[in-house]
Amino acid sequence: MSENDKNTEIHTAQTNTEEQANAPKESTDQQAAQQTIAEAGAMPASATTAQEAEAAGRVADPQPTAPPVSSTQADGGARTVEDTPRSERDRTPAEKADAVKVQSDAEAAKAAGVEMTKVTVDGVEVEVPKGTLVIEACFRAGADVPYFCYHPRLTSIGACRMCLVSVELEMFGARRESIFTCCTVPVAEGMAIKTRTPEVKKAQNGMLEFLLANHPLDCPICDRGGECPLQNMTVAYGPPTSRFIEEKRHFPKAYPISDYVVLDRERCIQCMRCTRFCEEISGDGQLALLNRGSSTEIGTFFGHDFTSNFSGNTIEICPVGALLSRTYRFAARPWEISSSDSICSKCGNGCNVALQTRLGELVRVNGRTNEDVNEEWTCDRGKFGNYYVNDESRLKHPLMRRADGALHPASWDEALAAVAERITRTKAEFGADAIAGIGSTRCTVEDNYLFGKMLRALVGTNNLDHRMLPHGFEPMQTTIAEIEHFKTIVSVGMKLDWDQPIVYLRVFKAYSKKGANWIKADVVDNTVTEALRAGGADAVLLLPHHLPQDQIDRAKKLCASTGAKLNVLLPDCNSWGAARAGILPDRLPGLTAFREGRAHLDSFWKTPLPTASGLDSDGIFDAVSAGRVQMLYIMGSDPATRFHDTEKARRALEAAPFVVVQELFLTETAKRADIVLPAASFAEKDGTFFNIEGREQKIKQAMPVKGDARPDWRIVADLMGRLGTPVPYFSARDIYREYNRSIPKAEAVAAR
Amino acid sequence: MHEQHQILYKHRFVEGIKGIDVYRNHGGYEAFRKALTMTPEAIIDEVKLSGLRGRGGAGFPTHIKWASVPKNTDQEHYLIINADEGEPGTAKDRDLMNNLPHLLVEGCLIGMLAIRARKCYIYIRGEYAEPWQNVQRAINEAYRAGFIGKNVLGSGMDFDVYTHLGAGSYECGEESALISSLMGERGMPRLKAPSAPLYTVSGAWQKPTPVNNVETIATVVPIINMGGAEYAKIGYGSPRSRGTKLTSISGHVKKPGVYEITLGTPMREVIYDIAGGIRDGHTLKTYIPGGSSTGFMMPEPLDYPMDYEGVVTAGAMLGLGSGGLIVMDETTPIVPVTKRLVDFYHHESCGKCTPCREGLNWLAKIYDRILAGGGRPQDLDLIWDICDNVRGKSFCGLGEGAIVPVMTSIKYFRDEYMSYIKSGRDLVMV
Ligand SMILES: Cc1cc2nc3c(=O)[nH]c(=O)nc-3n(C[C@H](O)[C@H](O)[C@H](O)COP(=O)(O)O)c2cc1C
Ligand code: SF4
Ligand code: SF4
Ligand code: FES
Repeated sequence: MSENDKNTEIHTAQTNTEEQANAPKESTDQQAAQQTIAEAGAMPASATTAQEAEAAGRVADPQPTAPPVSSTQADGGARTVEDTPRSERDRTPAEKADAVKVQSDAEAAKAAGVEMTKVTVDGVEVEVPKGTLVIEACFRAGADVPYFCYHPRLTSIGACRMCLVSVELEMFGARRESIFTCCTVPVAEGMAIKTRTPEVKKAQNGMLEFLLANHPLDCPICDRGGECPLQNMTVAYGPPTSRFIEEKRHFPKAYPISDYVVLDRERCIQCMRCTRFCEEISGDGQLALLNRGSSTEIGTFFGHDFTSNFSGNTIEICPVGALLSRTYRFAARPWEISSSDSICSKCGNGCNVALQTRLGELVRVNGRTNEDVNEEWTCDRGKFGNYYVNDESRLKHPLMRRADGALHPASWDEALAAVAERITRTKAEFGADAIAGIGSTRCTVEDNYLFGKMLRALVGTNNLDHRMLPHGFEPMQTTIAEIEHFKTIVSVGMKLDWDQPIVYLRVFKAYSKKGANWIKADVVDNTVTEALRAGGADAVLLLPHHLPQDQIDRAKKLCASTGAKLNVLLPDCNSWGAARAGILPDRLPGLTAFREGRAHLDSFWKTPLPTASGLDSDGIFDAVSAGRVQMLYIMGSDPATRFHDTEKARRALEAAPFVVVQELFLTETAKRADIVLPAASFAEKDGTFFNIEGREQKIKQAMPVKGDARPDWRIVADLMGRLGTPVPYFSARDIYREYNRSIPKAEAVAAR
Repeated sequence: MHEQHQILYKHRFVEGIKGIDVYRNHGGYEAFRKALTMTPEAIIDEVKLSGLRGRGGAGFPTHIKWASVPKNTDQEHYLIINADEGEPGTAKDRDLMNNLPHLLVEGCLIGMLAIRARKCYIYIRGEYAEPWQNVQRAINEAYRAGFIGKNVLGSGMDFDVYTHLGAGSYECGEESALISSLMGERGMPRLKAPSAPLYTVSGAWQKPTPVNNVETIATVVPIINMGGAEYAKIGYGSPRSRGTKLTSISGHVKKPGVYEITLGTPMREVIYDIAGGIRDGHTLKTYIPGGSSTGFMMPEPLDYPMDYEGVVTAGAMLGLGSGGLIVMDETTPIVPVTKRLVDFYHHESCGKCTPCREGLNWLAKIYDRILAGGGRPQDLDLIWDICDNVRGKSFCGLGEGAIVPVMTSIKYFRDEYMSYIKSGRDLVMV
């Protein structure tokens, strides 16, 4: 069999993902594999006929279209495997829609005055903005080009030589075919790009043979197996067998390079995605290439830990199983995972993530693309910090403090009846204001809205807060994405890469790629003033919410005078949501001032609301200690450890005659409660988070609820029924709809 | 025999020419004085007239390189001199730096004038301790004599020349890798046009930084002295290959050494007259015309002109190369020689691109196996195909050059490989 025939055979193979994943990799099985593939392919079309077809104006019978090889990583693996150019009618509806979109994109770009370049890819004409890389033009034209080192968010380096295409060029008076790496070259007017010439195929085949020569081929025990670009490319473009019979390069097998990341140097294909990520995106430069030539390996400086808050991203962009997650390692195979789109619960930036579970356990958190928020990155807090949802120590059933003074398991019915009874009794004996509620920056908008509604409309108190320290609410004056366009960026009093990771990535992008000035300060002092004065309207000031009010006021005045934008950044995944849901003593849903929103809510909730304004969290704890508040109802909050004055919070918790806590864990606060109600985590329920920008983002249930726990809104809804107002809520969506209507129109702040 | 012009080497054997005084007594730094009175454009015009092409391997016309440096920018320009000479068989820059260091320094000064640079970096390979000492000493002398430093010769211009020692990587001689290395980065080549701006526009530290070979820049001195048109008259071959070329001749010749050879001199004369011919009792088996990357060539044809075009017409896969002629007589076993070269390239590959990193590693292992008696008949096709998969696909010239000796050795000396494969023995070394 000639080399060309072999190529053709594997290239024409119509495989699906499953087959790919299961394609035998061991050389002993390769004969068999070859046969299977040949059978599956069942198409004798040789490269020459394909060529001829192309030359003859693509009249050849269309080949059945291969299903797209699914891409399980953000950058995508192989796309479609096919041989002849496809005509319009071969396209699937989705592809046609795509083509229409590409077309309309092109028109929109042209209308916007973007200079366009016309090229053809395998005979298909596309118009792309001037300066577009050839590889991107190929994708736009629906052609497939294999690649490893190319990544749209990293600078192209042309290292792996996988993306070779052929172009006819006028050279020394003659037209010559020449092949080059299309990830490095911008399009030129009239370029006729060919992605499937025999030379290109031979080159692709050759590159894969090279890459696999020293590759351990331990796919059966590799986490990446099944979603590995190297596997995918090999099936689609590689040789069926290797001619490499020498001893492979060996390194000691995988070893941890940090608490989160394991490195297996044998599998590395030196694509430098990880090193470029560390240099260009996270800016911590932690990973580097060591040694040279065929001894090149990835490592850290002097073998110290891979210390970065963004190390997890390198695992995701590594096109092989060289960088692995210690938490996910051997936990699941990609095809056993179910994946749900959700939002990270670890900070207010609101990264779009995919929660991936196996057998009802969270096994992995991957980034999802959202150009407005996290692009495609996540931080390590999010990637490795969400596993608490699996924790065995999670509360699985209600607990009640019994006669012996200890917490004992109870049924939901018993626990809820006790809470309802106590609410009614306390209200009757001491008045509604003897009851106070603490809402949560980590529960959803729905949870908080219903919590607020119960306390205001049913109980009749305004003693409602969620803040763990007193602070105001300044909506961000820019979006996260806009930050990267500022020329002067001043950040105060934060460890930005840890506290606001995604904001940090934008700031670093502005600083490293766009030449912005980045000034870091501990307090709003003269340095800040000067920087802002110099920056004028092209400056943005980033403040943490916990700065003393006088500093925030000073910053506000300053920004107003210099034209700088002010962004006060909140800490938790739903800090904005708790506020917007109205969990504040003087604010109603939509952050409406109490006086202004009351009339609307009186009629909307069909109950007159309390008139006296309520106590904030400090006031509530003081009032408990003074005996004025008799009952504390705490949802998803742990003031005993998180309150700015934990002593005060603990004293109050101990002094309060009755404390109800909805929680995931037996926290310090829950330990001091009289009734503890087990709640579902963010991975076990639907709902809405508002990130620091106030962007409305949905979380989706990814796994079954642990034990007997229930979503917080469900618990509150139950209780409301028991308090005499049965509620018609069956889903978080119902509540969200009601929440939206509860905001007086005039006051409604459009959710970003 | 064709007359051999001594342009660069005119004063090569003058006692004490290393020192600035003797150098000046022999007309040293006069070209620089002359250049100071010329505009940068005039200097580039002279170089254009001379037809000077890069002597570092690629043979790129020097005036085009210099003319592509942007003119009306207020940013600094730097001139970078490539003294990394790492190509096996090539040692001409060493000879020049050891014996005529002031010629290099003067060339740098004229080059800086031509491209409006005020700083020049000479990147010397790490192993060249002695050339470095000589060049550094010459720079120090030139500083003291006022040719470098502040307000040079009352021109109001400040010049600085720095040396930088490499850390022992052949790849760092590749101009873009050299730039990376000079900047303290990993010695890996960078993207070139059209993927990236020309390094003459945005090179080291994003400044315009043309890179020139030691010999190229030294040749500028006689060109300014004698005029470009005069220089262009020298040469016996192609109208596009003018002047002289320093060539280090090594191997089985009677008089190995570094010679200044007028371009276009027939290769036969170079080997048999200039280098004294093959050692007695032996015959020419093969030779490598210009450093190992240019590959093996057969004794016939030998009457072609040794210049950029002549070597190619005679069948070389890559052109004239860097000027390292290696001559081998019939006692040379080709397979071990090729293995030695493969090992060299394998060892020096930077590891950036797949074909060079993996292909050369594979080749090295195959050669090990063949030499150990484990060769198989299909290995030759395999080697050829590996080379073919590297060819035209590697990122830089290293991979491209590495396969040339391999392919040419298979092309010309198949029987020697077959001997290893069949009997495990060398055909030559019995
Ligand atoms: C792998 C490799 C090694 C090289 N090594 C050298 C070298 O040691 N010295 C040199 O002058 N040029 C070397 N070159 C050529 C340079 O890239 C470049 O062409 C030359 O420095 C340009 O100078 P010139 O125009 O004066 O010849 C090398 C090229 C490659 C691909
Ligand atoms: S570890 Fe992965 S991402 Fe990094 S160079 Fe190796 S293959 Fe590429
Ligand atoms: S060919 Fe590739 S691996 Fe070899 S030296 Fe050049 S860039 Fe490095
Ligand atoms: S993807 Fe183009 S060279 Fe790696």
